[in-house]
Amino acid sequence: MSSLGLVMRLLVRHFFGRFFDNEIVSQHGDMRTNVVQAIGLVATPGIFVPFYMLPQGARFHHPFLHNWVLLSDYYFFVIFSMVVMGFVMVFEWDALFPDRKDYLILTPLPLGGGAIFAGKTLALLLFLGLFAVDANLFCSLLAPLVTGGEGTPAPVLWRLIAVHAAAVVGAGAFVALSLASVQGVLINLLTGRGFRRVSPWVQMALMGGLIVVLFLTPLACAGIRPLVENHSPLLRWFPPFWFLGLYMDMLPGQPGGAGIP
Amino acid sequence: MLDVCGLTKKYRNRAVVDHVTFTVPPGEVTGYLGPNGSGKSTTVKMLAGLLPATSGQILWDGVDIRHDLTGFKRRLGYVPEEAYVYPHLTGMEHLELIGRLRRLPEEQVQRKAAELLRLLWLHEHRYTPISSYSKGMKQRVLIAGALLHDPDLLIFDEPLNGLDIASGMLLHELIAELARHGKTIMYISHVLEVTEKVCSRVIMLYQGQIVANDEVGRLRDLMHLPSLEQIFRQLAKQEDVGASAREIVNVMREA
Repeated sequence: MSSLGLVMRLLVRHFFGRFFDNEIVSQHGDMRTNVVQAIGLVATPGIFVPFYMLPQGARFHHPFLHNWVLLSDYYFFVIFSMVVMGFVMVFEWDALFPDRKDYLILTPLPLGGGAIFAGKTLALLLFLGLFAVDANLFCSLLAPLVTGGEGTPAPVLWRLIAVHAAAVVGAGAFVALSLASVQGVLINLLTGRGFRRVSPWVQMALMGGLIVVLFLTPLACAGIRPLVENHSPLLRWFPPFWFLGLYMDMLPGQPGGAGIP
Repeated sequence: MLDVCGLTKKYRNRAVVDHVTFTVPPGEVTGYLGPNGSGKSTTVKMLAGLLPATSGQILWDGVDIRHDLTGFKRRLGYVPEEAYVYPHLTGMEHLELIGRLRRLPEEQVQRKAAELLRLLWLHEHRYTPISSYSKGMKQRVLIAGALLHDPDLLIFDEPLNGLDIASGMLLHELIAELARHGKTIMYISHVLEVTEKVCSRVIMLYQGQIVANDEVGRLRDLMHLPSLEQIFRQLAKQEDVGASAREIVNVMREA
């Protein structure tokens, strides 16, 4: 590996480590422990929710005709991925971009600004990837197994797994990138002092929004059928439905997502 | 040799550093003095590549550092005013990070980091996270980090911050030794007594402009004043601090 490649790898590893050194949760606590605990917590729903789906006997190929409940389950997986990624971004809000400490420590070193920024971006993508895989790995494997049912040919099963993974990871990536762009826009629009002043309020609003979306899940699940049947415009304005529609669209034998945008 | 020519930094059209010109020769310790807010740290941040200058040039061995900023930074050792370090790293890990990012050979990083930490009395704490270090210990880690790659130019910005008496004395001896080895050294401070002992030459800054630039002894002779403090008071038109102190006590004691 070239020396530039080694430096980049070092920067990525360093910035990745810094995500575990976030003081937002506790000034004196061990953030590494907090993050590892969060990883365990986030992985759990993906394991047990597919088992709750077993008694329903839901099958992927008739979600609209016979099994709206299945659509609710799919919605849960999409919203769970979005909320997890949203929380990760809010908790790591101060570490999304290189900060003052990075500036003062790394700028006097013989590194280009581009290398520092690239290192930070790659580390952020790795960190987000870790949570995206963590939140979605088990449900991506188990949910298609449940909804595929017995006797599903292996190629179809693999496609179901790929479809599930693409929909939920895409939903999570959408939220993560949206929040990063919110911060990027604020940094560019405001002065340093202005940003520091509004930043906690923005974090609070985002946190509140994520909690509201999470707690609205039962309502949203109950509302999917009437919304679809009435061709409600809400389906086009609420991002979780976009990814639910994408999920439906990509399922084998489901032309047009049956009304979901 | 470091040459600074007409260096200016403006914030909202107000010059914080105003056409500053000076030379820092190798083998000497050049003091850069001034009261708080005089533009010392802004100058240093420009020298360290942390801030772009509004105008003017910084020449290292006759070449504008902007032509090869990365190359210049390879030869620069910088101890910043604020002891910013990553608290989750240990002292050893901090030096390993700095050494590796400077692309030093791994064997050299390990050997030098361990030796520097030992010589700066941090050996016992080398595997302790920096978050539990005192301010002086953090400062010593920063000093070790600035020396790790054997730089030609060393900038110490208020290096005594947080250091105890013994560490301060060690630092002064170290700076003198580095000068004897031909290093170009800039020592930024507002503590005049210390600067007088450490530096052979001083540059005095006041409201962003240089008001004196000469050898310490010559300045004393020229101004017929016994100490750098009195020279500084005269050049920087400092208020009567005795009168100010009396006024503060009066305000404090008012009913």
